[in-house]
Amino acid sequence: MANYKDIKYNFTASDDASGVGGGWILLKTQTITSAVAAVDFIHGTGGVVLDNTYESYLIVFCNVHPANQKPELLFHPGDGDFTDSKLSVQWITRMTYGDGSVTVGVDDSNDLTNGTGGQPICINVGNGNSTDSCSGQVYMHGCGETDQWKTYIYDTISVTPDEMESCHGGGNIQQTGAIDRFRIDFSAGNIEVGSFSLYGMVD
Amino acid sequence: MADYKDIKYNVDYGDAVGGAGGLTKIASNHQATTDGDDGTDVMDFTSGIDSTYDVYLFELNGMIPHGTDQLSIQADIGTATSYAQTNTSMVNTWYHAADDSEVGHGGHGGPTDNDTGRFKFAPPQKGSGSDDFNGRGAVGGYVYLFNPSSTVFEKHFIMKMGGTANSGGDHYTELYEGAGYFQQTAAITRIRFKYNGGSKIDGGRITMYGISK
Repeated sequence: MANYKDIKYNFTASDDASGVGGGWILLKTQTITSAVAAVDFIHGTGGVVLDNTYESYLIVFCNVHPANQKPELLFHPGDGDFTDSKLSVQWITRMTYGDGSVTVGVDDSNDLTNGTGGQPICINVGNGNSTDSCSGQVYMHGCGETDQWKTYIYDTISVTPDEMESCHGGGNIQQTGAIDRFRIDFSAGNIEVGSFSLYGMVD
Repeated sequence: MADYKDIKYNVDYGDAVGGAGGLTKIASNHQATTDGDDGTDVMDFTSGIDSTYDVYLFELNGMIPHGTDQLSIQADIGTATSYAQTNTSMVNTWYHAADDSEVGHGGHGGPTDNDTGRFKFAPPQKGSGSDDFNGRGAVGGYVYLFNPSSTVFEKHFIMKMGGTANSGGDHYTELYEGAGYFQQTAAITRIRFKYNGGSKIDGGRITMYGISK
């Protein structure tokens, strides 16, 4: 027999419907308390809905702590795998501990030029202190569309051994097939701690 | 299929409870890319912008022009239809060419300074090239509008948009981050999205939400 949680969103809102509550629908949270190599969200797996049910998706991650010192946190969207080509741009704000100096600029060492690897969304994440970690958000747009490329934008913060870095970026996913999954991992070593939540936005 | 009386006390919220949220959908405009027509001139939001909410969020998905153009936003008061409210804005833009010939900062977007025209807040889209992006490139993002019903303050907005942009036959990815304000103390009651050069909106969806206060 169906539970309330199984059918609570079983309604169809027309394009001009109004007053529909709960614009962001929490779809799944994965909380990591023992080390894993990667965190995957795949449509149809473990309750994940990642298709044309929602046009916008939001990923929020909190206090992700690496096993290694200063890896990048990588975002891999895909349509059946995690290797779709991406073109991206990133800029960073960096505050150096001690003198408090702040620099802002294009970070062309962490963008992708039609690359199939993961998109660095946090850089130089520290692990020397238990409090070192990274947090942030990633928006994905049009994941379920099958006639256009997809877009993503993100804003994050990393606490590093020497400085604080805030990354801002985005790009296109050069894939007309529907995006049905994404992976988040570190460029080296495991994810030791962290939480990852996926939300869909009611259109 | 179970109906409500069968399950009304059958509650199991699970470990990760969803559904709660501070957003309320108010209205949505959608233009399909696959319907074969030339699209729509504008996407207007002419009702539901009032004192119910202090902050409104516009979520944009898969925006594609019919031609080469740049998405813009306008506002108006009461039932006026000129959408010529004076605005001042600024935009930070970041770009990266697909052939890796350029990566950098600046250009293309605002600013506007006491401008009664449109605020161009998204990358210029599509071009004359034959790349895949020409038919498939799209942009998405969001715009926040603050306190539109105020009769004391001018009306602030912030935005972030990204996706596929063009320059001739080669495509770029571009990010636009901006902010500004409509220099109007009367209540803003309507918002219009359109392409700055007159191109129709060939595809995309814009949904307006109110953020609970």
